[in-house]
Amino acid sequence: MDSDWKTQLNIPKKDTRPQTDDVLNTKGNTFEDFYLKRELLMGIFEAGFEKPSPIQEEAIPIALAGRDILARAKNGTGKTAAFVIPTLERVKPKVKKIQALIMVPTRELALQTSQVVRTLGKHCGIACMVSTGGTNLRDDIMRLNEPVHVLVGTPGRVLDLASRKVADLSECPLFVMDEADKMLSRDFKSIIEQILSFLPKIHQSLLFSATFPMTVKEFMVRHLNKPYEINLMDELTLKGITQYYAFVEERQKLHCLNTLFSKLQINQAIIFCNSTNRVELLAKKITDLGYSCYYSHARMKQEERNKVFHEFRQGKVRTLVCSDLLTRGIDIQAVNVVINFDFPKTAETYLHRIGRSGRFGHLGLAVNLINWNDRFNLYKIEQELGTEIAAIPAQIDKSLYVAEDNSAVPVPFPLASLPNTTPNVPGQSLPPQQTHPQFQHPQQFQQPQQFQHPQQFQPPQQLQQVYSHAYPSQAMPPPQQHVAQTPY
Amino acid sequence: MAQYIGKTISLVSVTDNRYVGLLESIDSEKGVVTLNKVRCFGTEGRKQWGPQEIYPNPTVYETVTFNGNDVKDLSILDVGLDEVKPTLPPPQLAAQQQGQQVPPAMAGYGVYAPTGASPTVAQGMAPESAAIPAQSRGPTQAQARQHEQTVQQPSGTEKSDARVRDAIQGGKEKASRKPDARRSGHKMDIPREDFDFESNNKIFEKSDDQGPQAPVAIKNPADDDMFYNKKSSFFDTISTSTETNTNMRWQEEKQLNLDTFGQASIGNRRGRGAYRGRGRGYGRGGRGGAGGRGGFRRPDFNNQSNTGDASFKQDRVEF
Repeated sequence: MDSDWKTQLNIPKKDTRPQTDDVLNTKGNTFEDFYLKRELLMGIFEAGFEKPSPIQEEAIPIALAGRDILARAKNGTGKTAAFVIPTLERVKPKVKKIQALIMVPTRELALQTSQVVRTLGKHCGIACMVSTGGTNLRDDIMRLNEPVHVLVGTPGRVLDLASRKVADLSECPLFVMDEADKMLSRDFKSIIEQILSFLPKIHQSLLFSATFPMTVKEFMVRHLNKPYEINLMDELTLKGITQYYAFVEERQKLHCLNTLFSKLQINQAIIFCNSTNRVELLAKKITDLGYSCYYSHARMKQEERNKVFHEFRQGKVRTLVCSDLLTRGIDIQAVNVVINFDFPKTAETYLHRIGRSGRFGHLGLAVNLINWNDRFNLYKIEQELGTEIAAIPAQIDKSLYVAEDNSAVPVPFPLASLPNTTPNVPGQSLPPQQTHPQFQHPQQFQQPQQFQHPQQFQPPQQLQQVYSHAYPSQAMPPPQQHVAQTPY
Repeated sequence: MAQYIGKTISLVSVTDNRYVGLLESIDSEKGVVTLNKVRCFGTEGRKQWGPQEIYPNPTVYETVTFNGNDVKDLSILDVGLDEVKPTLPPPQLAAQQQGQQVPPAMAGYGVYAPTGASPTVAQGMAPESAAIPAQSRGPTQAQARQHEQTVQQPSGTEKSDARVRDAIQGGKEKASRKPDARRSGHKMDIPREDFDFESNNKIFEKSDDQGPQAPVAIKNPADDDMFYNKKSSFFDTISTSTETNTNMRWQEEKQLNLDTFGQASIGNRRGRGAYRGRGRGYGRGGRGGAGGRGGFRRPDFNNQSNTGDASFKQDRVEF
């Protein structure tokens, strides 16, 4: 029994899609080479991981050795597991204290990251809590009465909990920042430095991202102790993503998008707009065209955002329109097309946006709608990233972005529990998604009435029941809503 | 003539537009007819529902004076002003026209107008524009402005068949013009045929070559290393939004949204203001002061202040 534990594992179907050197160029280590605890290895293999990716191969042993790390690797090449695996290895389940703090920039990314912690740590007996804004602070306080080993959160809420002495970080030896440059942006930096004041003086810091502007250097000098630099990026852009631009007049954008819908073979697509208003307008126009889609942006209520994120991850709908809220870190393997309906203004935003497709070294397509005013940004971004964004051809070779066999594309780990969000004030506004009758499964959206009374806090179990009812099948293929009529 | 004062009048102009209003006076010396509470019913099929057709407009003008030379037909109706309805296009035609652009000005009459031809109509009818408030015009600001100018010169020097006096007086003018300029064309016209990527890209590439300022010319492969070179530095200097705000200003975005979507924001939300007033009775008072443009607050803001989280509002960064 002890020797054949590997044969007892419940391993998911192998993803057979081709991959690029961005993830294949390894030294050939195995996860067993890191001397990880058995329970952790079981979780790793059951998540479908076979071999460590280059960044995992580099970062895991250094992190296990206790060094501070500054790690740079491309979008979707396994950074999350590269810090979650050493985190889980180092956390002692018997010590009932927060032993690792993982900071991320958005609530959606916090949900996703906590789910990776739970999935990989399934057999480790480690309690992971996710704590973000937009949820009930009282629930977080209650939850912290029970043991929490790993806290995943967004800065504002974590600082709130730490300042109230509800979250005790005084014996937390491990501090992780995913999307580290974003965490050190002008919006977050002062909050992060305040949070650090609650951690023990001597702690280990792991900073990960695909982009590291010079501003991070200042933080590095001040807060990191002889950081070990890992840089796996010979160039900035992913090898698997083909980038095109389509020149349009502003008023032609909808026409152009409609044509893209009919010609591209979209498995799942994320469409980016440059403002929340434009997200809503575009989502409305897309539904008017007869396609179902979801949308998400930072001005929506958190429960709506969660539902959209959850359902899109599960492939309930093919198209997601969003703002730069979901530009970073979001990992949905089924996304093979990213469309910049509005061209971004900076290379950093562009790089992270197009990195939503081509996850884990797979193939993907990025189509940029460019108007006359965008041309300078197009040249600038091409030059800064050292990449080529070519004119979109009349025929796009399917082999550049379409998987032959989609059946093995992993569905993201289900979000086991969504945090209870702040209750609605009744009658103030309709949930935005309900204004669009063409949206799929509208009945699956919970009615806001369920959250009506501010005092009526729903226990997480109840929420979970509603969700397990609403989403019976994880393995459901994405709906065939706009399958290509003509090969493109 | 005095016995007809206050009666419902139906007047057809030389341009085939019908106006209905109440008779105020007829001045035979000057040769003008003045009506009150005037609505324009458009050409009602007198242009065979072709592209020249002008559709009814629900705007009511307090007083309109018509030049007798421009009046083709005038009749006195024995019905109340509100009982007069415009002739609508035959149903099958209306059905065809659905799906095309719909000026919401027509919504009051349940009529859908083809606006593909609207710019030409507007130009062709230019002298009349004072009399036919905006209904056949496209949504662009320039045209709206043009309308305004024409209205502001109501004297008989133009060959117009009517002078809209009241239209330039405050609220009325706003009511007649603003909604039209802002809301018309909610439905963007999406051509049935595929978007032609190649020919559009050719336009771009061509203009690119000619443009003396085309940055392509400055592009130098050797410069690529300037922004990121693994060998020289771990850090990069690519442009980033983590340090600077790249959001559009609302005035700029509003115009862009009109260009892209034919509307500035989603329906009855009225843009950012819509969320105001949510969460009444919860959290702190004193809204509208702090926090970004226009005192806008995120929908969840007040609810959260309820739970004491408001002191860390930096967490709520908008994207």
